Amino acid sequence: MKQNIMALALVTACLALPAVAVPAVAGPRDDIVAGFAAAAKAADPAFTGFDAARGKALYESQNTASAESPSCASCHSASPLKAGKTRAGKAIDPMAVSVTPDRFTDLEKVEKWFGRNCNTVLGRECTAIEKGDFITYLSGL
Amino acid sequence: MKVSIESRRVPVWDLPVRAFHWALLACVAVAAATGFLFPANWLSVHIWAGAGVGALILARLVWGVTGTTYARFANFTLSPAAVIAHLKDITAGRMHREGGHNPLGAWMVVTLLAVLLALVASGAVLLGGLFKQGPGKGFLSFATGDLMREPHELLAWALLALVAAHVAGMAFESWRSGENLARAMVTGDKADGFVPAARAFTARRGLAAALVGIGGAALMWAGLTANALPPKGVPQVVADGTWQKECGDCHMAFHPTLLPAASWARIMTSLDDHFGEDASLPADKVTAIAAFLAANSAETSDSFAANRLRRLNAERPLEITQTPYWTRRHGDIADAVFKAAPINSRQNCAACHGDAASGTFAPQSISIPKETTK
Ligand code: HEC
Ligand code: HEC
Ligand code: HEC
Repeated sequence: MKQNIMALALVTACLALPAVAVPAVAGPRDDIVAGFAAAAKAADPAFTGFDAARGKALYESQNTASAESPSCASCHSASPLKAGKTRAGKAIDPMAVSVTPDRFTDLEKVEKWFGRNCNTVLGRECTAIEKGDFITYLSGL
Repeated sequence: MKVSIESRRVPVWDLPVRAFHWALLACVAVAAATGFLFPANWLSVHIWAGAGVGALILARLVWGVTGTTYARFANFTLSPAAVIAHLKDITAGRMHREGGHNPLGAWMVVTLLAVLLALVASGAVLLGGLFKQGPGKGFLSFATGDLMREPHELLAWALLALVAAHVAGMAFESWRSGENLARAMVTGDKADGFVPAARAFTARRGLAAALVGIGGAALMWAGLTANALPPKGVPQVVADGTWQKECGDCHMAFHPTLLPAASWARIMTSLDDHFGEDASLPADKVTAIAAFLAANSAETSDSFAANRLRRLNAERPLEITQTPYWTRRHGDIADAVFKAAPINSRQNCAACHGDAASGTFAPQSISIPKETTK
């Protein structure tokens, strides 16, 4: 009897865990994307929504601002499902949210790296649309 | 059966003398091989061999005043007159067979012991000052240690020459006298008929054991106590959390003692163009990291790495891997080795230096990992 209750408690806990964990991670990411959407709308009233295909194109685009890092894929690996590597050889966890669930969940971190990496690779800041597209692409893989 | 006088064997070298001789040879061989031939990460073996040489010689010095007849330094014929007489014997082809060492042999033994002691002493100073290891670490500066580098090396070459002369002299005397002297150092006896030592001694074993035991224990205690001292001039760096995180995102967070303050200052004011990458940070983080780096820069440390890497490449003063010392020490490592996993880059010091995070870079901690394939 006691064992049955224990087993029941365990099963309930296991079932409850993803239910608790998923929103805790997805919430901040949704907020961040919503923030970019608001900024995109403010900049361009014709904005209708983010597009994973445009995000993929940005991820794979070849640029000329930096000889060492011509593309987001240079560091983040050609496939976002695979681990990448910095120029100095340090491993970078895969960018796809399906593989690295805590991707794009900390606004300060997201802005820090968009700020740096867009400047390094593109020689300019990324627009809110580009940022939203990028996250949308990587969230849907 | 009648035994001829020449075939009767008489004990000369007592067991401690023989044990000392062959143990010393073993320690010296290991120390010489690891010092001259082996890579830097054999330093621990080199140190223990050297410590063994030192301990053996100290014990031999005790036995030299407490041992049996031929072990005693009192029976070493070192006077100039004896040396000259011996040289005259050789040139005149006269054989004057001795129980112990002939005068040249006695001088050889004394010189070998002196050179070996000097090697051990200079090695301990090097170890303490340069690497902040061993009993000298608490009171020797890098500069003092560095002063001993050339003497240690010169003494080592002198030792090789002396060993060669010792073996040649032994072979020559064996040939001249018909007594295999190397064998005598194994069995301890020589054919009778030699000129006995000036004075006969019986061993004072109790006294010898007491001196070696008490002296050894005292030295061991002093050594261990000194070894527990904090390294002189190398303050412990308390890692700053912001630095560790922000400067460790793209490469390992390079220890602040690896570059002078001026280099760090320039790095921290040019993060938006950091070796071709934008590594910019909010102003408050820049201020905190810059303060941490300035407070713990190479100038604040007398460590081995800080001293060696302090001299910069004037053209590229922000890069540790461009300093003359770094390029020289890593010159033998092929580019492909750095590029291959799991090392991936020159900047990944920790892949080959197990103690890179602490800024120590001790020779013992060097090990190039095997290439991994995925
Ligand atoms: C020079 C190497 C490099 C290049 C090129 C690069 N990145 Fe990154 N990126 C990094 C590193 C390192 C991190 C931080 C490590 C981590 O998050 O695992 C990072 C993290 C990020 C993050 C934060 C992810 C998160 O979890 O919040 C974003 C967003 C990002 N990069 C976008 C881009 C974009 C867009 C490009 C191309 C325009 C790009 N990166 C190109 C190295 C690079
Ligand atoms: C965005 C990634 C990134 C961040 C963040 C970063 N670095 Fe670097 N760092 C690099 C790259 C890339 C190199 C050059 C590697 C090469 O030469 O291939 C480099 C090189 C260096 C070097 C020279 C290494 C050498 O070869 O001797 C130093 C020193 C250095 N960084 C210090 C810092 C400090 C201090 C911080 C923190 C404020 C920092 N880095 C943060 C990317 C980064
Ligand atoms: C591929 C492996 C590898 C990497 C990566 C590497 N080193 Fe080394 N390093 C070595 C080897 C091997 C030696 C010893 C060379 C010799 O015996 O002359 C050495 C020697 C040294 C020494 C002299 C150490 C001593 O005790 O004699 C210093 C200091 C040093 N490296 C610093 C660095 C720093 C700083 C970095 C990172 C910027 C680095 N190394 C990266 C392999 C490496």
